[in-house]
Amino acid sequence: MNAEVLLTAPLLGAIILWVTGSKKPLPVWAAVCVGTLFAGFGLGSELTEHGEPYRILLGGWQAPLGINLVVDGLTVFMVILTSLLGLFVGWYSLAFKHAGSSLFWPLWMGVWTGLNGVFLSGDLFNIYVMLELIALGSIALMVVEGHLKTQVAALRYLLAALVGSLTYLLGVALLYAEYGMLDYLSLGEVVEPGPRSSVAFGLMVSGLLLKTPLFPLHVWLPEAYSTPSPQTGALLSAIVGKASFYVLLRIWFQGCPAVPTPSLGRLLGTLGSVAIIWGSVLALRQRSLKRLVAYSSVAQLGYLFLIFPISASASGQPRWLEFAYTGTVYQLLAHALAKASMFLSAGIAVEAGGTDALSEVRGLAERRPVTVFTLAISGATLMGLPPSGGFTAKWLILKGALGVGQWWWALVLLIGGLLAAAYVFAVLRFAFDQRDEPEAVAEPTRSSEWAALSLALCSILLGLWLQEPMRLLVLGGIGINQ
Amino acid sequence: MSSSALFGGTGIIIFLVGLLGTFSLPHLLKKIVCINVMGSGVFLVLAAVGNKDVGATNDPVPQAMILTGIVVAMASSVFALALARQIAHRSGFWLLPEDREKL
Repeated sequence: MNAEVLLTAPLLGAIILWVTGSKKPLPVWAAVCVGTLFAGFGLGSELTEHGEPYRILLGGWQAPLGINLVVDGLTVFMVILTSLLGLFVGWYSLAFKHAGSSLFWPLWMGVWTGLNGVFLSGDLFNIYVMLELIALGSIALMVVEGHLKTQVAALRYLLAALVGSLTYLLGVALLYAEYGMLDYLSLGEVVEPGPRSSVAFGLMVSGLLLKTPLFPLHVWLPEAYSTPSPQTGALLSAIVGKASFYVLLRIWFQGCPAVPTPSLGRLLGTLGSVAIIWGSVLALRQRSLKRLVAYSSVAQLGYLFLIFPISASASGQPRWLEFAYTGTVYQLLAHALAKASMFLSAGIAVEAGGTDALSEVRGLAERRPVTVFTLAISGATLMGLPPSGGFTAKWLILKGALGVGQWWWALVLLIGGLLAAAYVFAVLRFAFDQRDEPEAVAEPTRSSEWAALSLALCSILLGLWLQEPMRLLVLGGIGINQ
Repeated sequence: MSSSALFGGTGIIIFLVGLLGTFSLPHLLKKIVCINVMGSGVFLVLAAVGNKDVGATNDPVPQAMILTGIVVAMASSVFALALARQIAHRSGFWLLPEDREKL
């Protein structure tokens, strides 16, 4: 029942808001948030009762005719994360003065449906359809504001997303040709290494890397995340890219666990490290707040890829893979919450300062203390300061890396943390500067500031709450069945 | 060579031609058409996957995948075309800014 609510509630919400023209989005938004949060936590407690991942057969149909849903710890965390983002970003949208187009609501609910679909689906083709739904919905979210710059960024993103998903689909087709299955858990039991499965796997992985994106495929990202409205930027960077990474985790560890070679893992780990350092350096060089936050996403996504080289050396020692896996999921969650909060705060700063220039943030600490506080604590998560979720994530990844003797990733983590500190303080330094001339600018509402702050606080709370999630995450999920 | 291998191989070549075109041709319309060429290549591979020997029943799952894929491809093409037309209308070029600089 819970899984069905997670799929239908946002879809119904999208239809209702579309038909009614989103004049009063509040009741529908509240109902969908409450419904999906309850269902998400319900799914978690069901999973604890089951004690192992389980399938849901929609309508009672077995594969291949029916569509299987798969529930494990990762699924539960992803759907709850999506609901939290829906809750706080929605709250911000309701409170923000320039709430933008009324199309925001039905489109976001459509993307939400697609996200929950990806997180619950156990079928590789179904995942393709859901990824397309997410891509089209989120690109439509970008262009509802109608600026030419955003439209160009959106088209570039759309072309990248379409090439990525077709490449993924070709991989799925080749895998189906070989094994006649689409269900990734069943595939995991039969897929054997060999040239054909390697080609299929390589195609799926490259398509997903383009969509996530991993350095050097990130060229479409900065403009796509920094030019649309802050709500859209927050959702894109927090969860839309993560959906592709989620699929990558699924096929790497569960769909085709026998196929990836250690050298491929090392390649992704190296590209991830370059992304961490290069993305942070570029973030430091930005003169605009939203672009700085967007480049920081390139860097923070890099951390997610360190699990692949660690897992390659962790065979026989599932403990280290468990650490790396939990750390990666924590990084995903913490970054999603902190980055969404940063985009929303950047939106408030731009609104209060009039322009997007970093130097215009001057004096913000005096006028908007809550927003500066929010930027500081979400920055703490990006840097990996204790007790934030980002700290826990990086600490767990570090533990995994050292456990398998790959100490060099520790260096990358250290440099990445220092660079993150540098670009976060670059923002805060301006915020605490004095500014003489009082200007007449728009006054963002207090309530929108609280929405951004709540997201940042969630990313801190994540770091204080570890034992229960860790138990749920490793429950027969990735890492255990190696 | 079996017909499945022939069609599958052709599909992959069509996919690669489309991929090459998407990245090398600057005109937005050509880019969108090339992505459709890529999609056709994938659908041809899927058709070859579902194709069985004469007399045997064909696998219906790839056919369902092609039909779904066509719907998705049409929706995204229409969206991309609308977006490209807006950009061309407002900027005066059927090009992305980075390709315009190269001219």
